[in-house]
This record gives sequence, structure tokens and C-alpha cells, in this order.
Amino acid sequence: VKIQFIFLTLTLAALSACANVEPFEREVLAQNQMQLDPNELDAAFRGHMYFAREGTHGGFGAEEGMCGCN
Amino acid sequence: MMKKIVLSLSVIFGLSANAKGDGLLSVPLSPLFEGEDKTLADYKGKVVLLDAWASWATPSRESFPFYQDLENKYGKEGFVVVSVNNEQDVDAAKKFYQSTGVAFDAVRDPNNDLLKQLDPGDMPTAYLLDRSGKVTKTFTGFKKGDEANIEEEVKKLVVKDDDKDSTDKEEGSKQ
Repeated sequence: VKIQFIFLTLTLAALSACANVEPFEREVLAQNQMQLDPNELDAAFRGHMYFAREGTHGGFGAEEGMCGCN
Repeated sequence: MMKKIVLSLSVIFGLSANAKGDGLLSVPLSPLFEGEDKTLADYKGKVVLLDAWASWATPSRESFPFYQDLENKYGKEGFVVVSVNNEQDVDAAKKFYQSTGVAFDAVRDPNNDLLKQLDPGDMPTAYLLDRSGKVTKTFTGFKKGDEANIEEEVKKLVVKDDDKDSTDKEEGSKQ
């Protein structure tokens, strides 16, 4: 019971660190540097090279199937 | 006991519901460029389209020229557009505003005092305030096709308030 209580307290304490980011507070999050792929064109190009080299397709993006043809 | 709880809860909920309308008008807003601080109370007597925008919120690029057109069209009837920005990067906001070629009022809410009360669900979000300063409509985001709806609501309010004003004047002259 004691361990459960400690676990619950820690979980609640950790949850209190979570915060909602309001839409009007997303100035920094909206910056290009904050995106997973800051350069969209570059990412598409690298993706194209990757699936051409590996003879596969998919895993990212939504286009085409898995036959490897473009 | 139960009655007391119900009464307290209704008072609390009542207060929270009132907060949006009452506090808005007195929040000090600094100018984006030059001039004196303003509050929304300064616009009382006018129909206001309050646009909460940001340079990083791309729909603002489409909404700005439309809002300027609206102000040009209904300005004579007491309609104004007030754009409110909260960005820390003030230069980015200024640059964006100037690049769109608009001329409506631009104010800043750097500490989000106004925006926290408005609680927009998205950026940009526009609020339509009647001549008494009460929020009557909220337009969340700005998508193609929203223009007609926004203009319709503005027109309704401008015309309705004009009618009301003329009725008030008529009644005043009768007395």
C-alpha cells in the first residue's frame, strides 16, 4: 500500500508538470526550427533518395504503395 | 446545506460566465506602432471586429485584406477593425502588418491579459463586438468561404444598431 501511495504521489507530481499550450502561445512552437523536419523540400528529396536506394516505398508520407516504383 | 452548495456553485459559475464580457473592455492595450495605450472601452459606440492574430498564423495573411475591405465598406456606419497581437517578436509582427498594406488599428497585448480572457480556440480568431462592447460572435480560424458569413454578421449588427439608434432618437424626440 505504501509503495502504491508513493507511486501515485509521484505520478500526480509528474502530471502537474504538464501544461496546455494555448493557441496564442505557440509563437515559438510555430517556428520552422521547431518542426521535426524544418525543411520540407529537403525532407521530400531525402525521402525520395532513400526509397529509391532501398527499393521500397512508404514509412513516411502517404503516397504510393510498397512496390518501389515511383 | 444542499441549498447553500447549489447557491455557491451557481454564484461561482455565474461569475465565471460574466468574466468574459466585463473584464475585456478595461484591459490596457499598447499600440503596435506609435500612439497611446487604448482599451476596448474606447471603441464603445462602434461595432468592432477584434482580430486576435499572429504573423506565424498564416491565415492572417488572407484575413487582413478582407478585414480592411470590411472597414472601408462599413466604416461610415461606425464599424472598426481592431487587430490585437501578442508576439514577443514585435518586429516580425510589424513587418507582417506592413506587408499586408492594411490601415486598421493595431494594438498589442504582450502579457496576454486580453487573450486569456477571450481564450481563442485557434489563431487567428475574430470577435464581433456590438456597440456596447459585448461579444456577439466568434469566428475561429479563417478559412476560404468564411468571408460571406463574417460580412453577413457585421452587416446585421451595423444595420440593427443603426435601426436601434434611429428608434432611440425617434423616441427621444417624442418625449
